[in-house]
Order: sequence, then structure tokens, then C-alpha cells
Amino acid sequence: MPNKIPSPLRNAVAALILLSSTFPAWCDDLSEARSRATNGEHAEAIRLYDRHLQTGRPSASVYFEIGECAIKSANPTAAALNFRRALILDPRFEAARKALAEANLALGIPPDPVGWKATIASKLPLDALLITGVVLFWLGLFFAVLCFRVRARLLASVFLILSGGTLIVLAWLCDPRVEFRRQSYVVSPTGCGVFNAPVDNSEKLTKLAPGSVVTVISERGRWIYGQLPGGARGWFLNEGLESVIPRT
Amino acid sequence: MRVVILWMGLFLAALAGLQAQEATAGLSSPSTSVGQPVELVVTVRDARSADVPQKIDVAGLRIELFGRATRFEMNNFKVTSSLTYTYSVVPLNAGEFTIPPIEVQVDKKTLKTNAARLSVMAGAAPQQSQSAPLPNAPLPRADVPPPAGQVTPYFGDLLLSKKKAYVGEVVPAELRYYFNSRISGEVGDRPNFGGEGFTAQKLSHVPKREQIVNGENYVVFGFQTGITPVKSGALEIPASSLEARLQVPGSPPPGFADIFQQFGGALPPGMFTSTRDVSIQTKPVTLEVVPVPKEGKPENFSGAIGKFKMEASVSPKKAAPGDPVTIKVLVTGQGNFDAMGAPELTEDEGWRSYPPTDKFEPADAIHFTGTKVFEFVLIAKKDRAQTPGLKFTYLDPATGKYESLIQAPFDVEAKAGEARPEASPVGNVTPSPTPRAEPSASQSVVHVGGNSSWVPLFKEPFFILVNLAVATVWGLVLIYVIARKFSESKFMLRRANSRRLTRLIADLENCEDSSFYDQAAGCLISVVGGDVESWDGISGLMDPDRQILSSLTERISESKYSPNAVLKPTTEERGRVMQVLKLLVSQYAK
Repeated sequence: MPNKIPSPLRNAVAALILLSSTFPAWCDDLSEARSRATNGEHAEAIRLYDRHLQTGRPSASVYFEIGECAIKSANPTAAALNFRRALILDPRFEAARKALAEANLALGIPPDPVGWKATIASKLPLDALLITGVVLFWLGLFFAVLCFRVRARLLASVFLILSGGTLIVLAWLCDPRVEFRRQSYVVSPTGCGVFNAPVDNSEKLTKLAPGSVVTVISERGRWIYGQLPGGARGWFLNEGLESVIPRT
Repeated sequence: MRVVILWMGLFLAALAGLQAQEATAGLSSPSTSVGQPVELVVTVRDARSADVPQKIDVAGLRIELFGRATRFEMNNFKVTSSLTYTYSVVPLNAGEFTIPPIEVQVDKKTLKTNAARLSVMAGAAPQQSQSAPLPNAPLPRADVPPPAGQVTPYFGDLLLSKKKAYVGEVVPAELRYYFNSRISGEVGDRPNFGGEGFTAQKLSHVPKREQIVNGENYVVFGFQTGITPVKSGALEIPASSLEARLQVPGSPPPGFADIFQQFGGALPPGMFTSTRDVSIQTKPVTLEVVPVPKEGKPENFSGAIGKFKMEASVSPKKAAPGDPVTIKVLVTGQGNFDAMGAPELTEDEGWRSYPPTDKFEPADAIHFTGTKVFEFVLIAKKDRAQTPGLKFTYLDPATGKYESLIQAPFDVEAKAGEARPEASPVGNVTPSPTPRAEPSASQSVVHVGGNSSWVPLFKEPFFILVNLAVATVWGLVLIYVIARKFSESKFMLRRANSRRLTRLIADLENCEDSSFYDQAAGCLISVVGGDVESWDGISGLMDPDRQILSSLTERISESKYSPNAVLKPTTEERGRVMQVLKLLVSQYAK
């Protein structure tokens, strides 16, 4: 029997069927993970949460829930990493901030210093700030082009451009997704050695405790050159580190 | 020949006169212990006599002059003379001393030496290798340069600040390489130094100095380090060697010495030299290493060995609920700072403490002296009026006893912080084997919002595309506005008019005779504006041109008011009118 259905239509139907079969599975992973977490099956819940995150979009709430499960699984290192990720996705997530402080306390890591960037990020919605800045900036530019003959309007347009530019820069500087882009987290339960040079038998400078965050400066093979929390620099093996912002 | 030699002598004397006079001071050792003297050598260059003080007053040191030497040298035709004054420096107290610049009177001039710094430790006398020539005064007489012109050109030496040490203790040491001042050359960057059974700090350069050993002046290159034994027993510190390329005294060409002997003198020292690559070695030294005493060893002994002081401060004095209180502790002194642990908190009930941070600020290059700063962050779990106290225990190697430094609690006003409901035993929770429901924080925290991407908004493709689109629109608007403004400019209007006139002239040139005057009238009006009579106001026209234009105006009027009359210009008339009109158009275009 000849196939009378046109090819594009056939492909569209197949895509719809595929989507409709994936979506419930994606939702099921999350609800199943929450159910397992409620029942105390934390390891299984974490596995399901992770599977959900592999297919879905990242969510501060999901990372927070993983952190809670990790805490209950006596794994403060993983907990601190996930609370930190929740806080990066939503810097105004106060419960995640407190939970991170507690996890750091359990790990013996000093609390994160609260700088002006973190303060602004915890008070203001950064994406809204960025959009407002962009709108003001473009308004100012259009205003300047169309009304440049009138002095008062020109001043107003300069004010709009400067205000918009300031908001854009502020949103860019304070966004933790920018700041943490190059930061890695010590996940190894035994900590991570810091060496003087990227060779196995080089001088060991110090050891970083699990839960420490280092800033990656450059990479050479399996070695990472980075900056320690105190400002010193050294080489680490990448086996014990995990990027704070997951690599896709 | 004699005349040549005489001139050479005068030339060398003149060269010697050009040498700048200067006075320098150097210690035979930058560190010593109480009662162990060192030498302070003051060298005055290019002077035959000088006055120096017999005594130098420095509190805690006894400094007395005990030797003077004069030296004339000629190295590769360069004559130098120097006076050397040697002082004995006997430390009376431990501490850091600065010997001030010494005033030297030379030929009615006053020269000043540099200041010198001496570190004096309490305790045992420094040990030196058995056969080495003497670093610290009084100078040892073993293995010294033999007399009667046989001078040891170079030798090495290793000095340890003590003969006996504990496992883990830092023993300051100095590698010294002596070069007779008559020889010159290049010295390697640093010696090779190392061995088993101990660790050593990175070698640190000691400023080059001069020292007299058995009446001979030597230039001393020194390298300091700190040696830490890691096991007990007799520890042999092996020899270390320093590479050098030296210009050592050589023999003159055959017959050359006879020339000098004719004048009744010998060859000047250093006149002929040869190059030699050498390796200068120190001699092995043995250090007796003993384990730290078990007797009286406190449980909280953190491994600190040395002599220390402790100071502490607290801030803030008042802490709101949940606010941290920081105790800053400064441990100052001499010892093994790298291996030292933090002081212990005492009476810390009611406080939650974090592991302290530490930072070492060395006062010397070998990290033996300095200050280690510890910072304890504390949060009150209950309302507290006093901070915990501090206790720091160390082993004093001079007495072999453990000492404790105690800091009493500070008075503060700290309010208890809010406890999180489920925060407590983070690290000690064991997973429940039964999958029964238990209260979970994740259920209690309902959170909606936040970003759903790891990519910042300004890096999102959609955001970039929208902004690019807006930028394109803005660019187009900008181009439109600029173009419109340009088209309305005087230049553009004039240019368009000029083109129109050129076109009219071309039409006039090709038109029928019957319509010539009408078209000429239009052309003239376009040039002068207003009506045809306005040409009269144009300046700069010659009389013949004016006559042509006057005639043209008349013809135009005639043509206008006598519509039935057909006026045709002659070829000559047409040519003249065209010429004048072209002239007018060209003037207008300019």
C-alpha cells in the first residue's frame, strides 16, 4: 500500500509524539524525586533530580532540594555545592544562603565574604535591572538622534544613555553567573593539594579543604592553575574539582 | 724603554688619583648569639690615612677597634688602595641591633659608612665546621691561609647556629664562600645544597661583604637558610659547592720580571692573571638531633619550637544576634612558624567557633623570625559576656621545657544567634534505612523564581538578536536624519540650482528661433531671480554685456506684449545672448 502522507507532515507528527512522550517523563522524574526525598530515599532522590536537570532547565529550587537531600545523606560537600548553585541561579534565595552557611560551617570553610556585588544581587532582580538599563539606553540614543537640535532634549537623552549604561554595567558586574563562570569547587572528600608547578613531584604548597572554591586562571592538561580563597596561586589536579557552574 | 715605563707609572698614578673615596662597613655575620662576638670591618677605599672612632656606642653591643691594615693593589693595570679597620662586636643582649653609620675622617673630608644590622639570639653559640676558617670573631686559626705569600685564594664554610637541635626545630644556617680580595671573577648564582634527614628553606642571598682572615682580606658571599631535622640521631649536613670562574694570579711572560728588577722592585701583585673554573666546597657538619621531650609534653602541643610571645585582640566588643566576634592572635618570635599550629580556645562553652585562618609575616628571608596571625571567628550560641580564652604551648629549645602562653578571656557583649531548625548536625546525620516519611526542609521551603539558565541574559541569543535589531533600526534612523539634513543644506540647494541652469542653457542652445526669447527670459529669471529687469542689479558686468542684456530685455518685452509678432534672433544675436547667459550661469555656479 503506497504511503500517501507527505514527508514534512510525517516528521511533524513524529516530533509531536516524541515530545509528548518526553515531557511526562521529565515531569515524572521531578515528582518522583520529590516523593523519594519525602520518604527519606535521599540517594535515589538525588539521582532522579540529576536526571531531571540533565534534560530540563536548571532551577534554583531543584538545586536547593538536592542540597537538602545531600545534607541528609551526610554529604555536606555536595550539599554546599548545590546550595551555591541555587544561590547563583537566584541570589535572592534566602533559604539557600542560610543553608550554604550551615554547610560551610560543617565543612570548616569560612563563610563567603559579603561584598557590594553580592549585596546588590541579593536585593535587586538583576535581569529586570538589565532590561530596564537596555530600554533606557536605546531610548536615550533614539532621543538623541531625533531631537538633537533641541538642547534640553539632548541633555535628557544624555541622561537616559548614562542611566541605562550604568544599570547595564551594574547588572553585568553583580550577576553571579558571570562571577562564578571561572570558579571551581573542591568536591574530593580528601581535599585537594596545591602544588608549585604542574608536575606530580613538585613542591606541595598547601591543601584545600573539601568545599573550598578556587578561581581558575588557566588549564594545562589535567592541571589547573588557579587562585586560592586567600589570594595565593598554585596548581591543582582537576580530578578533585568540579566547576561551580555545570559545564554543558 | 725606561722612559716608557716611567710614563706608564705616572699614568697609573693618575688613574689611582681618579678613584673615588668611599667608606663601607660590613659584619662578618648578620646573626649571632649573646656573648659570641662578630667582626665589623670598615673599609676606606683610596686613602692613605684616616681617623676612625675607637669605640662605637650601641646599647646592647660592645664595639671596639682592634685592628688596622693598609693595602695597595694593582689588578690588570688598575691600582687600588684601601684601609681596613676591624672592630670586635660583642653582643650583650638578645634582639635586633642597628649599628649606625660610622664617620671616617679622610683628608679633611668626612665619609660615612652604611649602617649594619645584627640579629642576636639568646642561647648556645653558633657551631662551625671543624676545619673551616673563621666566620665569627674571634677568628679561628685552623686551616687559615699560610704565611709567607702562600695565600689560600678561596674556601667554603657552613655555619649552624647550634650543635644540638630538636626534631622539627628550625636551625638557621649560613653557607659562606670566601674569595681572596686579590682575585676577581664571576660567582655562580647559588650553591647546590640539600641532603637526607632534613628540609631546608630556599637559600637567601646575604649582601656581599669583606672580612679579614689571618691578616688577609677576603670577599665573602653568603647564603642563609633554615634547616629542619625530620628524624633524631646524628644528622650530617653534606658539603655544598658553589661554581665560580676566577682570575687567579699568574706568572709573567719570560723576561718581564727582569724589567721590574732593574728598578729594584718586584712585579705588582695581580698584574698577570689566568682564568680558572673552580668549585668551592664547604665541609660536612654534623648536627645532633634529639626528639622532643616526652616529659611534660602537653596534649595540645601544636609542634611549635622556638621562643614566642603572644598578643590578642577582639572585635567587635558588642555583637548583635548572629554576628561574629573575631579574636585576632599575633604569635611573634623565632622558631618553626611553618609547622606551628594555632593556639587553643579555652572556656569556649556557648560559642560556635570556626577553624582559624592564619597568615605568616616573616621578618627575615629564612622565615625564622616573624609574626603569625591567627583569626578565630566565633558566634555566640548563648548570650555571652566573655570570649573564650587562648592557650599556646611551645617547646623552648634553650631550656628544653614546654612553655604555655595564656590569654585571659576578653569582656564582650554578644547576643545569641538564631538557630536554624534543622541545621544542627550537618556532618553527623546518618541516612535513615527506613523509607518512612520524615520532616524535610525541602518541603518547607517553597521557592518560585530565579533564573532558569546558566547563561547570563546579556549572552542569550534572543537578547543579542533583539538588541542587534534595535541597533540596526537606530542606525537606519541615524542615516536618514543625516541624509535629510545634508539634502537641505545650502550647498546642496545651490548645486541643484546650478544643474537646473545648465540644463536650461542646453535647452536654449537647441531651441527653435521662434521660442528663443521666451526661453532666454526663463533662463535669465532663473539666474537673477525676480523678473527679467533684475539683471541690472548684478555687479561686475562689462558694458558690452550690459548692452546685450538690455537688448535682450527689450526683445523679451516686445515678445511678451506683442504675442502675434514673431521675433526671431539672428545667428549673431543668438550667439551673443548665449555667451552672456553662460557667463552669468558660470558666475552663479561659483
